[in-house]
Amino acid sequence: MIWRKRKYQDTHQRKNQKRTQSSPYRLTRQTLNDLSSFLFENSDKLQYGIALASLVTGRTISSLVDLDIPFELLESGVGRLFIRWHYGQASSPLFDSADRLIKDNAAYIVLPPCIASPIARARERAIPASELESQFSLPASRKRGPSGQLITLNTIQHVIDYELTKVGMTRFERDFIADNQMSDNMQNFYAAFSARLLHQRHADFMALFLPEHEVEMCRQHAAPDSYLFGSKKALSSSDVLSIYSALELALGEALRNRDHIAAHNIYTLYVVSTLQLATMHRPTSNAFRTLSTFCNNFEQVEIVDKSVSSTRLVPVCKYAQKLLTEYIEYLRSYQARFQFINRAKYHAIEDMLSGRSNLFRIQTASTFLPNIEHLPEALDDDVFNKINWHRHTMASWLIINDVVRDALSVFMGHRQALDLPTSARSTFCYDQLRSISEHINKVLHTLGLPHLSPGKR
Amino acid sequence: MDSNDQQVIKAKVEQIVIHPFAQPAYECDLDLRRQCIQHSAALSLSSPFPFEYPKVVNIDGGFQVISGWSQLLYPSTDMPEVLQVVCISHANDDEVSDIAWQYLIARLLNQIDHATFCAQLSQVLERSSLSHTDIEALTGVSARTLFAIARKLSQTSLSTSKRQISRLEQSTDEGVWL
Repeated sequence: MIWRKRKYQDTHQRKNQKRTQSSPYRLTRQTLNDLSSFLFENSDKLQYGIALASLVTGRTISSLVDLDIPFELLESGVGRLFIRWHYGQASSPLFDSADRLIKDNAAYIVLPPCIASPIARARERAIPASELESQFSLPASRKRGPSGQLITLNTIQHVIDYELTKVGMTRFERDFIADNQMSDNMQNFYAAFSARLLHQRHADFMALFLPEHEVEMCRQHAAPDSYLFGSKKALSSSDVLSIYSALELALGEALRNRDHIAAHNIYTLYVVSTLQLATMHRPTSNAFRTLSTFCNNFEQVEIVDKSVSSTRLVPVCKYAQKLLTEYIEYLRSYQARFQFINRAKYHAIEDMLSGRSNLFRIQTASTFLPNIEHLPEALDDDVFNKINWHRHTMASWLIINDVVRDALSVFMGHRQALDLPTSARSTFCYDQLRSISEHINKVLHTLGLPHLSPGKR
Repeated sequence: MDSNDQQVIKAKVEQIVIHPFAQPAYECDLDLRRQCIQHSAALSLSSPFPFEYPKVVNIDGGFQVISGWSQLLYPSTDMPEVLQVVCISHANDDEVSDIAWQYLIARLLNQIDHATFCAQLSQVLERSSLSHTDIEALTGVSARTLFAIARKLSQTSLSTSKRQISRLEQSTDEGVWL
C-alpha cells in the first residue's frame, strides 16, 4: 500500500498543481461569499480569524503563526507579514561596487486589522499551528457550501489558486503572497518586481472577501512606488552600464598599448555579456558553445547552460544578431593576422569559425584556451563569467515592464510540471518568445550600452 | 651572413611563417596596412605593392620570412599553395630583426603619400629596433630626433605632422590597428 502511495505520489502532486478554474474542487462564488462573511463576522475567534487569514493569503496556518517568520503589527492595526524566501547573493569587486535594484531585503505582505489581530494574538500566545488546525471546525450547517462542497482548511488555503486571475494576479505573485515553495516556479529566484503592484493586487484580491474599509487600510500601507522585492542579483541600468564602462576602459587601454591579446579577451567578454543579456543565458565556461548552436542566420540559438533539461531554443534579438555578426567579422580579420605568425592560433580561430570548437575563447600569449572559464588577471572578476546577473537583471526588467511571465518562464528554460509547450494541446506558441525577444531588443537599444570593437568601425 | 649564398626555391604556403625576430616589423606593417585602408582611398588591394619574393631562412624544414613579406600581408583564399621564395643560408637573430625593420622602412619610403604619412613614418621609426645612426644611414637624412627625420623625409610642417599624429592616435583608440 505504501509502495502504491509512493508510486503515484508525484502524479497526484502534479495533478494538484493544476488548479484550473473549471476544477470541481474550486469553491463556487456563493460558497466563498457565505464563507468569507462568516469568517469575517467571527474573526475575533482565533480559529476563524486565522482561517480568514489563510483564505486571503493562501498561506498555511503554520506559515501564518510560525515565529521564525517575522510579523509586525503597526499602530494602525495593519500587519506586515514577511516571507521566508531566500534570494541568493553574489560578490565580486566589480559587482559589489554596483548598486542593485533591491536595496532592502525586507519583503512582506500587508494584512488588514481583521486578520492582523488574530495572527498577532496567536503569535503572542505561541499557539502551535497543529493546535490551531485541530481547533478549526465550522458549524455543521456551514461545513458544506450551497452546492454541497466540503469546506476544509485545505480548500480555504487553495482558494487563491483558483481566484487569482480575477484580479490579474500572476501565479508568481501568488507564490510570494502564499509563501509557497520558491522552487514551485523557478522564476521566483530571478525576479525583482514592483512591491506596490504586488500589494495592490493582493488588496484587490482581499477585496473579494473583505469589506472595503479593511482593504483600504492595506492600500494606505502599500509599499512606495519605486520599492522592489526580489532578486538581489538584478542590477539597475546604470549599474549595468558601469560594468560595461569597466570593459570599455580596459579595451581603450589595450588598444593604446597595442595589446591585441587583451583586446581580444575584453571584446570577447563584451560580446558574451551582451548575448547573455539578450538571451538570458546562464554564465557557463562554454557560453553559447559553438557557432553551430546559432541557426537560421543567427535568429535563433539553442542554449544548454545547466543540465540537459535546461536545453531551449530561443530567438536572438536584432541587437544581438548584429553584435554576433560583427564578432564573426572580427574573428575573420583577426585570423588573417595569425596566418604567417602563429599557425596554432590561426587554426584555433578556424575551429571557432567552423564550429569545431567553442565560439568564445580566452586568448593567452601562446594559445587560445578552450573556453572563457579562466580569465586573465586583469579581467579576473566573477561578474564577467560566474555571477548570474544577466539573467536576473533582464528577467526583472521585463517583469517590471509587464511581459507575460509564463512566456518568460519558457524563454528562460523553466519547465513546469505537466507543462509541455510543444504539446498539441498547449496554448503556448513560439511567437510569444519572439515577442519577449522584441522587448529585449528595445531594452538593449534604450540601455545605451557602449559599442565596443577592437577592429574598424 | 653571406648575401651571395641565396637561391630562389618553391615553398608551400603552409611551410612559411614569419621569423620570430621579424614579427614586430611584420605586425607593424599589418597595422600600417589597416591604417592605410582606413585613410587612403587610393590604395588598391588587388596589387598593392611591386612584386617581390619573400626572403626566408630554412629552419627545421620550414621557411621563416625575414623580409619581402608584402605578398603575405594580403592572405586570401585564392593565394597559390606554393610560393617562390628567396632562401638564404642563415642569419642570426639580431640580423633578422635589423633586416626586417630595414625592409619595412625602405618600403614605406617608397609608398604613396597619404593623409597620415609623416605620422606613420614617425611611428615606424619609433617602433623599430634600429639605432638612430642606422636609421640615418638607411634614410640618408640626419636629424636630432626620429620625429624630425620623419618630418624631413615627408616634407611635412610641424603643425601638419602634429595634426597627423593626433589623428593617428585617435584612430588607434578606435581600434583601427587590429
